[in-house]
Amino acid sequence: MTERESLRELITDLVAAAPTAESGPSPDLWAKVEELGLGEVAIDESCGGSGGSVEDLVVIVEALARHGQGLPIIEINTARWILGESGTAVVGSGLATAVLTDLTEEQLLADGLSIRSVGWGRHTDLVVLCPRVGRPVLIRTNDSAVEIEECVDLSGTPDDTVTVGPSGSREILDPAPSPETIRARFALLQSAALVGAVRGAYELTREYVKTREQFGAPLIKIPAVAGSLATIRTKVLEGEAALESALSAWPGEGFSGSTTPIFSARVVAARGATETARLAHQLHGAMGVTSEYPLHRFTVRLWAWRDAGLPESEWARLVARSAVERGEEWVWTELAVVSSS
Amino acid sequence: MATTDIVFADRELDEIRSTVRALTEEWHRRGLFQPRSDSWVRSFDLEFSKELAARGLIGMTWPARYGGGERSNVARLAATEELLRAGAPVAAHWIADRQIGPSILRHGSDRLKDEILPGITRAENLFCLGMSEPGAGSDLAAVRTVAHRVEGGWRLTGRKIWTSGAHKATHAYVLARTEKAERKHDGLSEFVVDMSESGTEVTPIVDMAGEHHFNEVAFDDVFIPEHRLIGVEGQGWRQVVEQLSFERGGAERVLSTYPVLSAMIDACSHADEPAALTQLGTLLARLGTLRRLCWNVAHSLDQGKAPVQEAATLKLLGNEFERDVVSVAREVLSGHDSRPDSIFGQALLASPGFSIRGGAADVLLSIIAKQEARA
Repeated sequence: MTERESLRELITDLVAAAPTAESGPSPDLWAKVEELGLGEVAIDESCGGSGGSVEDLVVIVEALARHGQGLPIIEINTARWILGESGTAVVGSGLATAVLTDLTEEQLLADGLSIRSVGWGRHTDLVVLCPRVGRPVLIRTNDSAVEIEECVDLSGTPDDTVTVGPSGSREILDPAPSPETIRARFALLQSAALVGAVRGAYELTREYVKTREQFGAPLIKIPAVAGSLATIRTKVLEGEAALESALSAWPGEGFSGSTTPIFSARVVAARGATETARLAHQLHGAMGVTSEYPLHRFTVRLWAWRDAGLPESEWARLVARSAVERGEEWVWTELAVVSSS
Repeated sequence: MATTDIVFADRELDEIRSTVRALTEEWHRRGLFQPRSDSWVRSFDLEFSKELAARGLIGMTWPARYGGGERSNVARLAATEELLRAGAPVAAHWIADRQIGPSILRHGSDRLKDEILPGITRAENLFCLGMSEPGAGSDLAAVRTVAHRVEGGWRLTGRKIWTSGAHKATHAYVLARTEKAERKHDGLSEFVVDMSESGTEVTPIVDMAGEHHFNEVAFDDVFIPEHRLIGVEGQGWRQVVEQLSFERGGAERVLSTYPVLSAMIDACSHADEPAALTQLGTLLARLGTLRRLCWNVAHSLDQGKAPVQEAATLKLLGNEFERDVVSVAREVLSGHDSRPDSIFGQALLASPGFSIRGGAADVLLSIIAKQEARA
């Protein structure tokens, strides 16, 4: 068994053992993931992480999503990674989350702030605010000037608004990964989640149309149904290819600086999510929209994750801006596949 | 692959890309070609093909014995990608290099291989595809062209249509009926036919862009020597299906409109319009993934696998992409040149062909679906 396969099997076992939550993430599953140190994978052991590679982390995130599970692993792992890189203790400082903002470091340090879509915010002690330009800024939720307004995303996952009053203390994290690198890590992990959920929705739908009989035969015998399933299949293949390209742009030790394949994967995975959710519901008919049937565990997450962190369109503009700035030959080379990947 | 092998392989690919770029850039600078969409069907220049041949860039994966380069399919992809990117005039050798050479290599007799393949690698043997027939539409197996046995070979009679480049080709690949069978897929055979043989007549079909690449080809009792049969008599259908699944997985299913995308990157540098940038970025993101899918297909072939579903997926998604490039260009390049022979006009007028040749979208979906139902 390859390392990837054994990680996937581990996740399958964990999911099977944990009771499913009515809505949002399963607390039992999250507790188990934390207990095993999976939320600290791809963070140096010297910084209090569990070690392992970004590839391992991608496999974990993808596998969880494939089972229709949405955990705050992306935000929390990314926060721990940034803290670790900046020399802040990852363990013992409390639970941390991270959020992408469209503000500069300077703006994050200005008087008052209101930051939306802070994943898991209400349960955390530390929030790493990631700027568009400059260094990340750390705030503490026990600060009397910090308030948390509870909200959830489409899938019922805490997605809170954090406000910081003028007197709220803010700590610049330095040294820290560049904004580009932080965005790339978010994009890579979100792509993994999207691709995993696309595959999960595909597998559920395939099983359904092969077993459910109507008009005297399994649904898949109807050419239009078979064609729609095949379309979802192409979205799986496309998403997985995009994810492979993104992963190979993030090699071993450090970050190569090639964000185009990673942001591209994020866009392709989001597009695949839209198409997959639409077709999976179409093929399931009314059965698919009930709360009892598990399809919604995939589709609401696909809808929520398409625009998580930054909306799909913003990732597309990031790809376009660097291409336009540096020219056709540069972006052509960025998007080339090399054997070593 | 060991690390040193990987480094070596990457260096090989870089060298191939540099070789192609040096050539296309020089030819472009000297005004010897204008980059254009669909260049692998519509841009014919024998001298350019000969330049590629001189650099070992035709028959790259074939054995040295037949003039080939014994390189990987991944290496060939590096070359074809760069050629399509440049919109270079590659139509003269494209079909022979992509499709007929490999088919002869797999099924042909030693004599046929010795006779035909080295000439392809020198850009001397140029092929056209005699598959579709008048009245048959997309029903490829509805073959009425007949080859009957005579002493020393066969006599061929019938008509083929939509034969790109027949007016310039030295040879035709022809699918013909050699036996009346109950099932129309049985009793077909594949042949190599000399276009200079008497009884062969080529009539041009001008397309809606005013361009001439299509033809109708009539064969009237044309002699084919015995050894020009490809593979096994009566097994033509099985062989041609294999050939088609192979030809689907190439970069020309993605990059036919690349010159338009390239022009859009330049056009967007003058403006910061969010809507245009979103569309451009989405196209570039899709391009990256499609190039990975091309690479995956080539890599699978190198490992001796038959990536049928992957190749069909690549063509389906690739054709969608090629078409969407033209749609976005309508907005981003609007107000620019929209003559029929402009970069945009050429692409738009060529675009209906993208999802007809090599299998319509619905056919590709059914290929993918068949595998889904099976497993």
